Amino acid sequence: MLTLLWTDIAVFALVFGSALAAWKTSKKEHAARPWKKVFESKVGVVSLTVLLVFILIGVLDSTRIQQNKELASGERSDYTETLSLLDIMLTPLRVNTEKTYSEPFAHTLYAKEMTVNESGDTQWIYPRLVYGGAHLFQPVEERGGDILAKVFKGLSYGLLTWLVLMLMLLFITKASCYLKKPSGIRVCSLTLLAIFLILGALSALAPYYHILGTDKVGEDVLYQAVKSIRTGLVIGVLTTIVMLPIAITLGLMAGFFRGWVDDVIQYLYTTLSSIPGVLLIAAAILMAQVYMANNPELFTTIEDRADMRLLLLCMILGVTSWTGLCRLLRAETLKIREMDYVLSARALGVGQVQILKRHVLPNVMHLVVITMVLDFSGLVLAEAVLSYINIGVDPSTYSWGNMINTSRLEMAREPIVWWSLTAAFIFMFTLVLAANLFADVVRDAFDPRFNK
Amino acid sequence: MPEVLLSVQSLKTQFNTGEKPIKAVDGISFDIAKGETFALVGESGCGKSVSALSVLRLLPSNAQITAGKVLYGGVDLLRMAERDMRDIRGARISMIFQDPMTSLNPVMAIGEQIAEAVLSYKVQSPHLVKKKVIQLIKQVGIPDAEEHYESYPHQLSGGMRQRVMIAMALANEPDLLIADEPTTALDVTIQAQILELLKDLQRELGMSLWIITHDLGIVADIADKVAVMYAGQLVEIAPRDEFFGHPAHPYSQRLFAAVPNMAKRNEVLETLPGGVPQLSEIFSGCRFYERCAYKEEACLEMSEIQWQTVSQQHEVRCVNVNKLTTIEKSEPEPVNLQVTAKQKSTLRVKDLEVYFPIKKGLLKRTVGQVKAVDGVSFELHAGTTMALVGESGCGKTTLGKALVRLLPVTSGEVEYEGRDIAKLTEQEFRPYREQLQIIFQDPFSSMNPRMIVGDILEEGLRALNPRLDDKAVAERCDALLGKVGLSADVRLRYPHEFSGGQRQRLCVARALAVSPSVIVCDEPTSALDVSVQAQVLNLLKSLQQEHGLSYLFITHDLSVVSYLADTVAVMYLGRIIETGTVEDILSHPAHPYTKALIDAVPSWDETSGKEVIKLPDNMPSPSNPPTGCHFHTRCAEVMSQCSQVKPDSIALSKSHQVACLLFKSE
Repeated sequence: MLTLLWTDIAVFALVFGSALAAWKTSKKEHAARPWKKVFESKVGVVSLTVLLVFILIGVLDSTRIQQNKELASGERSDYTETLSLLDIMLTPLRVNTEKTYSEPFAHTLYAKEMTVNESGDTQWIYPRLVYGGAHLFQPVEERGGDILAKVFKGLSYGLLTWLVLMLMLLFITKASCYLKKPSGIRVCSLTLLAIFLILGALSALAPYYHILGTDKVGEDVLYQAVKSIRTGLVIGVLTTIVMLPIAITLGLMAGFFRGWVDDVIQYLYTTLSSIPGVLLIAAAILMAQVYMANNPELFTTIEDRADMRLLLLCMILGVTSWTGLCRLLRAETLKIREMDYVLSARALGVGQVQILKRHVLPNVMHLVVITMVLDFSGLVLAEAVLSYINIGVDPSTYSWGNMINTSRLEMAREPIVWWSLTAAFIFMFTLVLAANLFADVVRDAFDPRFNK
Repeated sequence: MPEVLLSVQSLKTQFNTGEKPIKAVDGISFDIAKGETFALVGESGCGKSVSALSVLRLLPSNAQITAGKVLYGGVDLLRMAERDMRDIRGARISMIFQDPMTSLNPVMAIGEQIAEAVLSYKVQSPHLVKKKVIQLIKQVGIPDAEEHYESYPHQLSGGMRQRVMIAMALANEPDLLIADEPTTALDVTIQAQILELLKDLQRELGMSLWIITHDLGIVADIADKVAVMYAGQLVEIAPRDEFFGHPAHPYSQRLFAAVPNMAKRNEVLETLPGGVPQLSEIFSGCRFYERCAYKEEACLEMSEIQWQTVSQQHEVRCVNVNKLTTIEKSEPEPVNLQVTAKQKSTLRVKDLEVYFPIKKGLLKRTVGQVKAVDGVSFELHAGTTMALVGESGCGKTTLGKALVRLLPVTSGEVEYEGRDIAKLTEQEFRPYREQLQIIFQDPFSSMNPRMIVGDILEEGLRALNPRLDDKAVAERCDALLGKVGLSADVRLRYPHEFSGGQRQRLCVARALAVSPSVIVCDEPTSALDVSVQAQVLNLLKSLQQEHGLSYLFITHDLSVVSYLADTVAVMYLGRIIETGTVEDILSHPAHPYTKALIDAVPSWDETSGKEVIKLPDNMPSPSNPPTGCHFHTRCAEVMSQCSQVKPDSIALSKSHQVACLLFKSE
């Protein structure tokens, strides 16, 4: 049975919305022109492909299936379990949990333990892992060769899948579009090749090793990092969606209408930005927690509660973070409203809303894009900071913030546990970098003055 | 022959951008003698400024000097070490730039800034430096030198700032002063003073002057020798009198023909077909070939056109130069004088006032008023052009914007079609938006860079006739583009793909889209080169004949006024001080201000040695205008009662009115 949480609905609505917008844009010749430029740029195509892979993972993770748990006896229990498509695909990663910390590609735990061997002697050794490297008899000697063999196998599977996919594409499109517009599609397919190779290698290794190690309770860190993608995307995108309309409407109104409208809006954002954001967020989250505790019938499962908290966090981050962009937009609008083209539109009797929509908004859009992208990485980090004082996402939600937060203690250990932080860092870095590069290309493509 | 100071020999400079290098300067050679004024003339983008920057080696990093020599005192500046070059630059050869507003540091007192220029070459005691600076400030004609030593740039007017720039350039008594468009950003009255100052200083210090300009009037006023530049090359070098007497190169001739004046009122101005060629292309033969009226096969036969001597010191790069003079000038095309004015209404403005409140304090209380337009009355008859002239800051643009309700009117009447449209609400005024349109000065900021041309043109049509269907709108747009001389397929292009002249024509098309009967033209040609200006003026004139349009033409350029206007109103500090027909104002100016304004225009028609009325450079602020006659603080013929009595408008003849106490009503 398919179930949907609130954030899932938001994710699907966004994906459908952008797909619809893209389809509509492709119908209009002059609106599609800048996008063509994006698809001709190498950086644009690579970053877009990476972003799409991230989004695909997010969407897979938002498609949830509720099923009754199978008991050991083969019967179905009454207890239901909700798993996303991604969980099902990553089943080996999800269920192969160890006892506690283990290093990437390790076959033993990270710490020595007192164990009793068959002959009854107690030993102070590194115990073998239950799953990681369990298939090896002589782990120390065999491991290197085994990993290489598995990587090679994975790579060839990746290559094969990619070839099949490309052939299918060629067959469907009858090769024509591949030859006509080589640059964009070629770069895209090469990026896909790289991604397929990485995925192939990972999927060949993952059932046998903990590629990024395990955490304190023995859970696979790679699994955590992949699951965090959805949280990161939701926080980045939903917050922006909440924040943009407020910032754009108020910023443009303040700059364009001046007078008392300007005074009120300025007063509003000056007041808001002089209250520490953390305080507002803490107040809102704590109130929500009290509400959830008082109305347990509304939030039956842990997922429901965690999801509501995530959604709320997005809302409150959105409501507190619009002031910076609003201020920028107000200043830019003040400049643009005095431009001759706005004056001549007024002389032609164009309505004020139309002027705002047609003349002012497109000319401040570059600011919006830049701020959006810069905020995106900031928001993912803000989530980490908020988790630290326990007002971020629910501790049961996988997120890079939670991973970074827990690694605080791990870094203080001796010997240090570095892989949680590294995993969160690599994933966050890839996502933010792809988003930054893509936004850069989009902004250049939409500025007609840069085009020759 | 006087001694040669600077000799530029086949200098080539190119910009390395994109695939092909742009050859901004492509083999120019000229000499500047000691004490001589050398003028380099040409349209924008022909490489004038780059050649000056090449000589001083101040080029941006993507530019490169590829060939040539610049000999100064027998030494090649291009092969000099950068350290030695620093002793030349600013000390022996110095330069002043176009915009005095951005060339000065706003947080340093001007005295310190000039002192910096003095100090950087000779280490001197502070006392001596200050003395030198004050002497320099006096030298460039700034009064109260000691007090102005402490002034900051924002406290000075544009003309004063340019004087400060000149003082800085003179700090080390250079042998050569390069002035790159030194007066383009200034009013014509201030321009006359700065040119006068440059002439005096040159005489006093015996230095050479290299002036770069696009204005033939300035050349006539100040130059000894003239060089015309076209597409990276010099095409003509001549002494001034020779040049203005018999311009030899077809391009120079066309430049003269494109300048509007009274005599050409009934003619279509000559324009150059096509545009300046791209400097990145590889030329063969004459660069002016495409646009030349005398072109023939011989022009393309050799790869480089050789210099031909017309007379001593007068050389031209044209193969046909000796034949050209014999070719009869084709009969100028007469303007179709048939007036087809439909019965359109006269625009009557009475006692119009536009005040801007000055607000201060927390509660934004109004503490004063800037009287930008202070009781203006005039009539604009259907199918005629009225020119509104005055210095910048006199309120002429405010008046234009207030007429089309882009600014609120404080009081007064604007009567059109029998109604007072100044008192209508925005909703009631909407139908009149079709009748009253405006064209702006800067063709680059007056079109939304993110909209395609088609949408820009359609905007007004759709806003005022929401019921029009797409096909009708598209047809109307094509017709408009045809009318302003552009092809219909430009509709899908963005404004930045067009040149300045084409953009201004698009702006005209946008205004015409709603079929107006009155168009306020706010300096529509002042940002354009003279040959492009001619195209726009021709267009405006032919549209006027075709549709019976009336123009309120706001300008500071009196040559445009003499060509286009029927009546003229002279504005000073928010008031109209003189109105009359173009004949009345330009030939028989009555008000001292009008006289000064007309005298300040440099020209080559009149015999030199005319007495120029110099206006002091202290235009009062409209927030605190002088009492009585606004002009009394600068007037040469000021009388005691001028500061007490506000002069009324007095009719000198049926068409000519002046507001000055020198005249008594009969």
